[in-house]
Amino acid sequence: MSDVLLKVSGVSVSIPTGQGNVHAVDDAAFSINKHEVFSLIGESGSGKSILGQAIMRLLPPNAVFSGKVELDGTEISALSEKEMQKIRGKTVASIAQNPYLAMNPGIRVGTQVAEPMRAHLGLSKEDAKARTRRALKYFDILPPEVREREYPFQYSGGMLQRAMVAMGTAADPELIIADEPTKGVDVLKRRNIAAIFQKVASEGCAFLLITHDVGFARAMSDRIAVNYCGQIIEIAGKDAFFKEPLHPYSKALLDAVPERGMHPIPGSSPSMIEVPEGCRFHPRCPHKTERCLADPPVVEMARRCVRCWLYA
Amino acid sequence: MLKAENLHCVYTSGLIKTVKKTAVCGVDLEIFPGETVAIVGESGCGKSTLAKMLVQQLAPTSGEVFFEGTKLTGMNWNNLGKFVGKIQLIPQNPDDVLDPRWTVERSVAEPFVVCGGLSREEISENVDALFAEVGLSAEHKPRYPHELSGGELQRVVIARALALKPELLVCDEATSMLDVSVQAFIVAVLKEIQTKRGLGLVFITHDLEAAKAVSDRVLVMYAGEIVEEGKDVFDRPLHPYTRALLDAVRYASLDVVLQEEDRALPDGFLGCPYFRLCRERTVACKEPQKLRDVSGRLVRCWKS
Ligand SMILES: Nc1ncnc2c1ncn2[C@@H]1O[C@H](COP(=O)(O)OP(=O)(O)OP(=O)(O)O)[C@@H](O)[C@H]1O
Ligand SMILES: Nc1ncnc2c1ncn2[C@@H]1O[C@H](COP(=O)(O)OP(=O)(O)OP(=O)(O)O)[C@@H](O)[C@H]1O
Ligand code: SF4
Ligand code: SF4
Ligand SMILES: [Mg+2]
Ligand SMILES: [Mg+2]
Repeated sequence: MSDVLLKVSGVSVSIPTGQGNVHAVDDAAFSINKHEVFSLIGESGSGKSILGQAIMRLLPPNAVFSGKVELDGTEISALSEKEMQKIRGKTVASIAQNPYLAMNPGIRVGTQVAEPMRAHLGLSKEDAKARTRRALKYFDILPPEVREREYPFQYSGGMLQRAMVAMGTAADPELIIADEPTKGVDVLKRRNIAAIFQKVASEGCAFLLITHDVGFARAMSDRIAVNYCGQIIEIAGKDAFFKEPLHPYSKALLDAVPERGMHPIPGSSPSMIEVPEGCRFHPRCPHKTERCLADPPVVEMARRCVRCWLYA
Repeated sequence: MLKAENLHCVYTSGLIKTVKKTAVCGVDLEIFPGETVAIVGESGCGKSTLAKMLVQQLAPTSGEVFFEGTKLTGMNWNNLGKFVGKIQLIPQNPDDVLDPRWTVERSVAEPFVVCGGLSREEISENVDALFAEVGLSAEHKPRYPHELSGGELQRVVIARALALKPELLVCDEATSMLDVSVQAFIVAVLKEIQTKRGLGLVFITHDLEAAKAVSDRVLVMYAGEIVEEGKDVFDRPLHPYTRALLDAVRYASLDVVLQEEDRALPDGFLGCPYFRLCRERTVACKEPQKLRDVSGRLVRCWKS
């Protein structure tokens, strides 16, 4: 067996709307090894969550999917819905971007966090309860005996977010797809999340981390992928990436962090329906030339790749 | 411009056995026109509750809020109507203001419709301008909230809050789902409105770097109280909690930082709320702590 846990090849998703097809994901290809934390950063609205949903097979019903997703050698994109349900939550857990939508407002939080442990680990009610309390306590949702009996609306935004993380990491999955797991969480508790992710990863779990929090991605990841307008435009090891991002968009993105003075990238985000021809970043790129009007190749280099003519 | 005095909020829940929980406890604050105030503090310390009380979405258990000298708390709905457009909240959860059955275009147009006095064409022009202002395009307008990405939805809510040209804008984690570039863009838009119209901004955020970059003044909250307030808080933190917060940013050590067994303070404890976790505590901290003026900075800790 190789070390590859998740292999995504040629995945595209388009969603029909009244104005035309939204090309949310275009030809995504990457793989994640066991133990690895793989982060996906990039522009808001560029298709990161849709890519995560495509792997979990939780896309909007009208979305059109093509491509192949393999988990531990099994092609999960070809499984029946019934077989997929067994995988969801057990082998692959997801922490959704919007906790208010993902949590059931009418069920106590404690019951919801315990649910995956009962369903997938087959724990008894008492065991699941004890484990839930420990998890809530770990994520600083105190006091657990009171908080487990509360409903989502009684939680603050960041507390609910942490309850979601507790739920996602509860049933010892092999892969966790975490969409913005740290939003609304203060820096001290963000560290707790980072620590538990690293602990879970060291036990063999892999992570697909979708995040806008560049500091968190930097602290956590082994590899970073950058998404722009539906395409992955760069994948690199963390150290190499932060030392020298190659793609002009990656460079511009890292220059926009508050520490460097919050300079937005000039120009506006492209339409996801009528995507720019050729390189999708060309309307905003300071390095564009004639050839950028043709589709740029994905240039493979030692342990990294970038979708840009500059390196061809 | 906006002034709050001694705000308290106690949530009661449970029908048979009522549980009381103090979320905000004696907050005084003042916001001046054209000023940006950042509010930071741990998750669950009462920031959103405070924000809702400032914009009159939630009636404080006790305390008062004044807007340009007029007392808002306790005012009836008819009179309050005049102020609704002037003070706007961008809530932490976009679903609080967006109706899932409405297209986002209709949600953004709603404030204009409610206010009246504009023709259909004028409303649609205004809505187009607002969408462009927050970096969204015509393709997003006819969609429903669930058909947008997290960051797009957040920008719809910002557009809606800007519709009636508010004088004070309270942003509760308003940029938490935006990438750093779009976040910088939105901040630039707000700052421009601020210089043009003297907009007062309250920025509630967990992103300390962003708070530092945008704000003129910082309030640090802990357990429902303001523990530190001043201009250069991040350069020279005085309260032990603020220092712990700033140290954590660097992800310096990823050792599991388990909280103490029992953080809850004994019933009737009136001393410093940070007592259980503070590394610098002494017996004197069991006395109630007041906000003290330390060379232009307000700090709720006798040691500083
Ligand atoms: N149900 C839907 N119908 C039509 N378009 C959709 C739908 N869901 C998402 N989209 C569009 O697909 C694109 C990608 O959305 P996605 O949620 O994946 O973005 P994202 O990268 O996660 O952004 P963010 O960082 O803001 O969450 C966006 O342009 C969005 O408007
Ligand atoms: N409707 C409610 N009923 C009961 N308790 C509530 C309610 N809303 C909030 N609380 C409680 O009040 C406290 C403060 O919540 P608040 O939402 O103000 O925190 P916050 O500072 O905004 O936190 P975060 O950064 O996580 O959003 C929390 O302990 C929360 O559980
Ligand atoms: S392909 Fe051309 S336009 Fe695109 S990022 Fe590279 S240099 Fe810029
Ligand atoms: S009053 Fe005492 S316990 Fe409270 S922050 Fe100051 S030193 Fe720490
Ligand atoms: Mg998303
Ligand atoms: Mg909040």
